[in-house]
Amino acid sequence: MENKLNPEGSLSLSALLSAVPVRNESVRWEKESIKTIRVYVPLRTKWFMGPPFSWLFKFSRERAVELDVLGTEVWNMCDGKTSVEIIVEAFAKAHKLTFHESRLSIMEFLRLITRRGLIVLVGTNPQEALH
Amino acid sequence: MQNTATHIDWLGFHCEVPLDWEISKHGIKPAIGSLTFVDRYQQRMQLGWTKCSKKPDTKRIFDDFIARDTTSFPDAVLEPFFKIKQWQVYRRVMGTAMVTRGGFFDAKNNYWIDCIIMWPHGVDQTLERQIFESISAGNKNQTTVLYKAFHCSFTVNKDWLLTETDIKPADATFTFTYDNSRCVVRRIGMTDAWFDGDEESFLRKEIGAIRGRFFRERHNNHECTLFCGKERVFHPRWMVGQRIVRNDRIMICPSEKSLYHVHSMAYPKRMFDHTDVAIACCQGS
Repeated sequence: MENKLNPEGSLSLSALLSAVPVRNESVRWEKESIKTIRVYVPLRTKWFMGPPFSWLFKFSRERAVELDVLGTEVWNMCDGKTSVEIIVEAFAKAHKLTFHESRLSIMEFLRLITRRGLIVLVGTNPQEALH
Repeated sequence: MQNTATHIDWLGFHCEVPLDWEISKHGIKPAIGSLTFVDRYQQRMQLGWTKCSKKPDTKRIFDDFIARDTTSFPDAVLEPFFKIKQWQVYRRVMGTAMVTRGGFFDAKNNYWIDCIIMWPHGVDQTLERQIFESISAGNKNQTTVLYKAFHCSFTVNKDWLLTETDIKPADATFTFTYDNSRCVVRRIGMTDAWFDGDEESFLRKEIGAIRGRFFRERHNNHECTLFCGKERVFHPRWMVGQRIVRNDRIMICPSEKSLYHVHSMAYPKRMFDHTDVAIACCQGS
């Protein structure tokens, strides 16, 4: 099946590592405990969420995503300036992991929170990023 | 590289690679296999071994290598052969990208060892030499085999053969067998993130229904929790004295933030001894 988002090919590993995770500006977050946070992502309003249904039912306007200690640690590093590679390095150093162990875990986590709309990955140079 | 190298010991083979090179693929058969190393962005090295009953025809092997290189990369330039220690080595040049390929026959252990190193931005001759010089097949007459890879460092009695591995981020499991007995060495990292410090309750979850006794011991400057018990559900083989004995040892290494768990399910014929596996965590690394 053709990849409509990226018809010219997938991102190379070096392009992924140099990408910068940027937080979704419309999310808000609050501290759940000392080390964990809860992030609220606004939901797109559907037709049935308005009146008259909204008079009868209460629809949630946002979805909550709870991050654990490690997730919060990575979320705090997603400041819009730090690249994936630096986040991976810092995570590896903090938890005594190898670069690849850390990369696999961080990439999976970033993929998850990208799917949930918490962040987007911004490539530094789209020409270089593509194969 | 000597001070900043990662020492890899695997199935008796030893090599030293730069710190940022890690194993991405590994073979577990002593007869034939390979270790593939990657840096952050691409594959960098492949170390292969093949057990031979007698010295192979090395000239023919290298002729095959060259024929394959010439066919697959017609634009590549092949540099003449040269020697590094016992290695016979040549380089394939394609612009700035180079590949060094070498091989030698280890007559002491009857192994043909070959190694390919990729240089995406030109060859580093010092590093090339150091890597080739560091590779050895070890001494197969030793009573223990050292495993130093995937952030783990331990020695295992030679009787126990590596039959299975499961490598996941921060969780590496190595399974060894001897006859029908089984021994598993597992290292779980990031203990600061998930482990509450209660070794005994961790072990209780692992051992399930087996009953036995727990005790504590000091090993490698770390406190260990040990367990020894016998299988509970009756099996007819008990009547011939074949009742499986389970031994567990759990150890936390705070400086590595890792938990080592060694467990064995052994028959009385070859009882597992805790000295069969010696973990060298922070001291050995």
